[in-house]
Formats: sequence, structure tokens, C-alpha cells
Amino acid sequence: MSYQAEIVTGDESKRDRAGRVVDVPRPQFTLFYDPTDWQVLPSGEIRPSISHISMAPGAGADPDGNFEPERIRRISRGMVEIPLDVLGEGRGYQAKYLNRRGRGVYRSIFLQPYESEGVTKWRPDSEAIAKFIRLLKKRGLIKAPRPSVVRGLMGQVSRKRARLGRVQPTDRADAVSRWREKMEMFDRQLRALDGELANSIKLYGDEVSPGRAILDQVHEMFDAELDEDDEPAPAPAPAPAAPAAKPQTQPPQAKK
Amino acid sequence: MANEAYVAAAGDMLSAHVLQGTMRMLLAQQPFMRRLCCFDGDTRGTGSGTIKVRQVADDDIGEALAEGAAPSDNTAVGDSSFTLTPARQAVRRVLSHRLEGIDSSGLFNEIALARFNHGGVMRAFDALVCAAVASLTGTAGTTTQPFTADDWFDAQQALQERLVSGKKAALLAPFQFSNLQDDLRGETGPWQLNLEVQAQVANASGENLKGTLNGIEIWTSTQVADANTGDDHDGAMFQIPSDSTMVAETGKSNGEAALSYAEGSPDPFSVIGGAKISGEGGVVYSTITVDGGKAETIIDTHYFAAVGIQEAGRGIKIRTQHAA
Repeated sequence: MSYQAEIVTGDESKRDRAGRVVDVPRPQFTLFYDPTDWQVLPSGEIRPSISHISMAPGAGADPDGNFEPERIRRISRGMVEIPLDVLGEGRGYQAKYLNRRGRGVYRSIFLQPYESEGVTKWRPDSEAIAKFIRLLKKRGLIKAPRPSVVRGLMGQVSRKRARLGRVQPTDRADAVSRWREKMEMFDRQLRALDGELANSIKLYGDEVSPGRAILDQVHEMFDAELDEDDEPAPAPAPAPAAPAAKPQTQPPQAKK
Repeated sequence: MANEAYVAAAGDMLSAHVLQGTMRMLLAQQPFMRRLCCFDGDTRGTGSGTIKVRQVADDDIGEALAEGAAPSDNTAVGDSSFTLTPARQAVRRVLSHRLEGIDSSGLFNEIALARFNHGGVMRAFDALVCAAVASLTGTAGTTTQPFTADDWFDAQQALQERLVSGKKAALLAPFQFSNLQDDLRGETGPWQLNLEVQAQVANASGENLKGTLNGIEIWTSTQVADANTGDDHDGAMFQIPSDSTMVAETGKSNGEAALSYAEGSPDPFSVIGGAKISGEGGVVYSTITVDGGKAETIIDTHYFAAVGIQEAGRGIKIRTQHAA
């Protein structure tokens, strides 16, 4: 019988803390997105809102650690999974680190750890994330949003714009400048969404609601009955002028 | 393993106690999130590992009818359900007999370590809550942009427009809260004079609870999950159980909320194997076993729990810029 001996150097009882992150343990996750839930970036680009779904027992997985029922439940509700190995065999979007206690910390590969003030901080590589999303779109895993989704986003942005428009600051120059930047951002987003809507209609055809179809028929009826000789509708009456200010009068002098 | 209590590793603590007589706790997030969820049941003695909760819709509107007209035929009461399957959350600590023998600090015994473990499994529960918010309906905030007061109002108004009433809370990553504070400093107009706004700028409150804004509690946690492949934090604003639904003895709340949890209490009697210690409320428990060969005592603490969405529309995700 031959024995294998392992040459040991150094003090093996000391725990290796090199390369460990200072962070709470985080479970394994997989990415899902809902085709009806999108977000608009400040540039106007739109992306699906991608969720990190935990695969921990009690969260996503059952007590046996089986994630399959949760996966099937989500897919049956129309959500789309981005598979763990979407980048190829052995190349996923999930990286595992060890924390100081030797517990697993699973985070996106697009988050890079660095040491700062004694703790580990995580910096997202937004450029890599943007490329990842474009790759998923090119491969057809992320499909373009339907016209109803784009219209929903336009409604959201319009409402935000209208709300912000009602609270325009007037006193501090920095507050005014921040407000203007935000309004410009909303305008940029709306212009981009207009273009996105046109693309979406080209791709899917327009989604006509039953109410729209009835309204179109009514328009046809109006156009047929009303012609250029008919009097146009009267213009709305101008707002009444404000009453002239009464001249200031001296209060009556008290009689002595 | 990283949770062994051996003399070598405990050397600093022992000498600190002997020389100085004081011990301070290092910074660690205290668990808190059970109060944000509605308690929907315990599987003990039910014959099933799953809790299924039925929900009914009480949203019918009566009809105005002329004399002699009958109401429309009875339609089924709208219903749905959700299930929760408690799974084990556990922490293990190993205590060497040598350390236990020489310990003078009182920290290195089974009971004390079981208490530490209790905090650990409660933090595991908090991680389940942070994972669950990813399933709430809709998203407030702008991806890759800081969280602002405008986003706060967007989230609040979205819930208002869905008729979500009652007590609400926002669960944010610490960086999201810092962004909100920064934005509040720049607020102009009457809202800046609101006492709650000033309190938020001053960071007036405690560890995890930061106070309230517009009547909504703000909680922060380092366990808030990531979103959008790491570009954003995955916070949320959602309805939590109102105080009136809390049962005083257990501290658990039972009422409408966005999130629900279920537990699996252990059998309180153990006649086989090692000893069991039950924690408060008898839900978290520790088992103590001895490894005679290694002269170690193993303290395992267990908590069977699951967190899920009671009603996704009672909350909204807040996805904004990740700390960098």
C-alpha cells in the first residue's frame, strides 16, 4: 500500500481571511422580468424591471430546496426567466463570494467589490449591464414591449411631469436648476417613448380597445354630417375681466 | 467553519474581560421585520407543512332598481389564495469544552450562544422579507438614479390610487435613505417646514427605524436585495399590519398587509436525543449535542419560517440607484 502525504507549510489552523468580503450572506438568485413592468432611464432608453428572485428555502424554494414550483408559478403568470447560464456553459451572471464567517454571498457579476472604510462596498458596472441587456434583446430573451406597455409608461412619465410642473420652485437658484433638469429629463423620456411606441406598433400592430373602435365610428359620423358650411362651434367666452380696483379712501376721521 | 468558539479565537475577548471587565457589542443590524408582516399561521399539529390562506373580494356594489325589478343573478364571490411553506433557517455554533471550562466572561456557554444564534435566525427571516418585495406590483423611482422626494410621492400616490389604506412602511437600503435625505435638504416650499421632513434630514431616529415621512414609517436594512442585475437597490413601500391587530402576548399581527409569514413551531417535548432549548414564544429553538471525540458542544438554532406576498397590489417596488 502506498500512502500519500501532503506537505504542509505554514500554520494551517489560521483561517484564511484573504479575499473575503465584509457583507451579510446573500442567497442564490435567478433573474426574472415581467413583460408588463418596464422602467425608463433618464436617457429615454427603456428596460424591463428585472427582479432578483431568491432561491432560498422559505423565500423562493420549498423546504427541500426545490425552486421548480416557484419557477413554474412565475412562468405561468407570464414572467420570463433569464437562465443562470445565459452567458454560456459555466458562465452565469451570478458570482459567489465568501464573507468573514465563510458564508456565501451571491451577487451579480456586474457588482464589483472594493474595500472602503473597513467594509466591502459594491460598485455596479453600468456599461456592462447596458451591454448585457442589449445582448438579451438581440437574442430575443427580452422582447420589445407591447404598445399598451409603452402607452402606460408614457402615462406615468406624463403624470410625473405634470406633478412636478405644479411644484416649480421659485426661490433658490440651485432648486430651480434641478427642477429644470428634471423637466428636461421627462421631455427627453417622452420623446423617446414616442419613438418606442411607433416601433412597437410596427412590430405588434396597434392595440385597439373596444372603446376606441366606437369613438372612431362616432368621428366618422361627425365628419359625414358636419361639413365646412356648418357654423363652427362658438369659441369659449373669454374670462371676465377683473373688477377695477376701487380708489383708496381715507378712513373717516374720528370726531373730537 | 467560522462559528467555532475555541480558546485561540476567544483570546482577545477573555483578556478584555479579565483586564478591563467590560464588553461591548460590535455593530450589527438588529432584526426587526416580523412587525412588517401579517402572521398567517403555524403548521404545528395541522398535518400539513403548508399554510394556505383564502382571500375573498368584498367589492360588489348594489344596484339601483326600479319597482318590481330584481337584482342581477348572484355572481360568485371573488376569491383567491396564497400558500406559505415554512422552511428551516438555521445557525450553528461550536463551543470547545476547554474554552467553556476557563471562561470567566459568561459568554461561552450553551445558553449564551443559543441567544446569539437566535439573532442570527431572525436576521435570516429579515432576508426572506427583503427577497419577497421583488414580487410587489409596479415600480417607483428611476433606474440608475438616486431616490428622491418625488419618487417618494410617486410611490405613496400609487398606493393611494390603488385604495391601499392603513399603516404603511418603506423598506429601503441605507443608500436609498441617504439619497432621500440629500433630496429633502434641497426641498423648497411649505413641505420643507414639515416637522417630519426636518426629522428625516436630522436622522432623528434609531437603528433600523428612521422615523416617519408623510405618516409612512421608514425602515432601512443592509439586507435589501439588488435589482436590475446590480444597477439598483430593491426597496419597497407597502402596507403593514395596523397596531390594533397585534396580539399582545405574541407580538404578532393579524390583518391586511402586503406581506405575510408563517411559522412551524417545534414539538416542545423532546425525549430522544439531545436537549432542546426553546426561545421566546417557543418558535425558535436550539438543539445541543456533544461531540465527545472532539470535546465540543454543538449548538444549532432553528426557525421554520416562510414569507410571501399576501396581496401584491398593496405594495410597490422602489428601484433606484445602487450604492457605488
